[in-house]
Amino acid sequence: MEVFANEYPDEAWVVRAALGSAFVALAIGGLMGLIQTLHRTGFYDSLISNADYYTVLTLHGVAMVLLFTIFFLVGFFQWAITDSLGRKSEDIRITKLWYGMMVLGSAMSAVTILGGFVDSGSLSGVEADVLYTFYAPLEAHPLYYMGLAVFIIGTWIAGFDWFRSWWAWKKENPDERMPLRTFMVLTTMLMWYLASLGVAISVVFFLIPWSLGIFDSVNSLLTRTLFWFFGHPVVYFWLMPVYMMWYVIMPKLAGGRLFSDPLARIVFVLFLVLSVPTGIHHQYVDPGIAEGFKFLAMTNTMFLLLPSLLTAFTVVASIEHGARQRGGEGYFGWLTALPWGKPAFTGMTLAGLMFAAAGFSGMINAGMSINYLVHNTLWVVGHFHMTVGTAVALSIMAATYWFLPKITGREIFSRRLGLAQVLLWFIGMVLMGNAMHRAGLAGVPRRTADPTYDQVIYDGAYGAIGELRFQIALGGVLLSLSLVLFFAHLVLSSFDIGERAAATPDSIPAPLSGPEQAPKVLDNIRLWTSIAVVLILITYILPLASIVTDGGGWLGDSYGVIVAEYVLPAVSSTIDIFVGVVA
Amino acid sequence: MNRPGPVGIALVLAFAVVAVIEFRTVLGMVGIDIAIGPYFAGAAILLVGGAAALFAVPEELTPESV
Repeated sequence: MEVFANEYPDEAWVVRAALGSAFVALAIGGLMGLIQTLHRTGFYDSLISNADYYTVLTLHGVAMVLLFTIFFLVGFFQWAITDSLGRKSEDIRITKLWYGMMVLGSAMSAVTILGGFVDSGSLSGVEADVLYTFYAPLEAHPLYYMGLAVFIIGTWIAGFDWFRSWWAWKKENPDERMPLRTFMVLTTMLMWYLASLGVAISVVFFLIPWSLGIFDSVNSLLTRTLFWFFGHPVVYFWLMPVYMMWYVIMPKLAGGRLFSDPLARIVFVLFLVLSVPTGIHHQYVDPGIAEGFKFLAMTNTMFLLLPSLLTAFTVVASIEHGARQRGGEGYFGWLTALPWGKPAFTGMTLAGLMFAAAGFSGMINAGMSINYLVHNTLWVVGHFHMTVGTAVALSIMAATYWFLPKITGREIFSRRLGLAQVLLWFIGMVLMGNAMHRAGLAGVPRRTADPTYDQVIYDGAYGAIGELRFQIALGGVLLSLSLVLFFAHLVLSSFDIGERAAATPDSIPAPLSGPEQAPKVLDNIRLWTSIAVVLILITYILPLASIVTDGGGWLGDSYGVIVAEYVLPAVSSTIDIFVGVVA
Repeated sequence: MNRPGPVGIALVLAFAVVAVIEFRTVLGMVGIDIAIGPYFAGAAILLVGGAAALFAVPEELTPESV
């Protein structure tokens, strides 16, 4: 058995390319994040204008939460499928096609966002200051939406590519259980197909025609609801590969084995079933949706705590098993036997810890009554910086230290440097995330370039806003330093060619409770997908019908114009022609 | 109990930085305000201590260094 890079060179090329794209997006998004945090906190606000702040914010959001995460995901999933099934891509041209489409889509959208910095010249008027939450009434250049559409279609083809590999493997191994990593990839992609359908409909049928001027307006509430149909489950699209890292890589690094394969499968089934019918919890303050539908979304959201709690149990049990194999003893003494010197392990553990904290603030967000207090405040920004910004981003960076030797064939440059990087990210994010939560409780708004709250003293719990702004800025600087260390590490590792070859072989150990213990029904992904579809229909049909009937139709105000100017004349002409032919 | 190695010290100090930040919030909630100067100076010393501990981490891991 050889290192992945040598055994599957074509697939490893795609994985490296996808990770490279992810890290380019991370670098751009990180730079925008630093500019943003210094501007907004008032520590250095002369670099950009308040108007450009929204371009920076859009680029930060799109680069970080769409491009960085999803490019890494497709690379990681390509490795997971190829390695767990032990087979090459069915057609490497298809594999390269979806990667190429994702790059093309990213470039199309990026051009329009960057156009926001240009006031004159050929890019003048090409703008997309609509943030990553790109619903109406904010309108972007059509190329922005087209780019996103191409990007999403690329991910769909990637999923198809992986399903093809599984179908081919299944033909050759009809009696074998689906390997765990393949199961995780396929359930994640099924969830993604369901979730991205909402945003695809919004983009193709409403936003692109609207931005091209075919419609005068669209139903804003409809596009917003379709966005959040996708906007919450996309969080799980980022998280599910991270869960795979926690289930697959962490037990191995700890010197143990996964505690339970069946529990891991149950968790991914629960995510497939429950991820999509929750999006309306992002719209608790939206007056166009009845309270009952919001209550339903809240209930579904609370159910989603279950897979996360199961994951906490399984992963901790797995690493405890590893620690005890390494000589760890006692109720808590085993913690000292864990491999804290490995940046991959330490980074992912700290990310998991932060995710637990973020889970608590997530419960606040999910509760209908208390959400009203924090909805449009910096609290929400603090929450998602601790989820996607730490649980996901830190896990990805930490896992890269383990993953890089597999796909390049050579070891990382320095464990010490890796440790410094993950610890710095942890401290920086605690500073920034904590201060954002506290500032949100004090009422500081989000999505604003210059909130005029300077030096307002709040009695009691919150401290001065000035102090919180300082903590946010300091946290942002520490995070940027951590990113610099990360990229330095990648560059130094790539210059280490031939010096230290990656250790071989490096297989994933079998779980303590294997797939033979899992009921076969867990692998029936058709059943789970059908249940997910039913739940989606129950949760969304009535609210969407209400939004269309009570909210001005499919196209809002322009609905009547479209009917009067296009539909009725077309019908009239058709009738005239028909009458003429008959006569 | 084993003496912690440099990795352990770096980790403990990273958590200490976090604890110092949170502790000020908790004290603030009960009406005790600590001046910002010593507060951030304390956190910075812990941060520098953590960085120093990292420099002592051996590149090749041994059981003692964990």
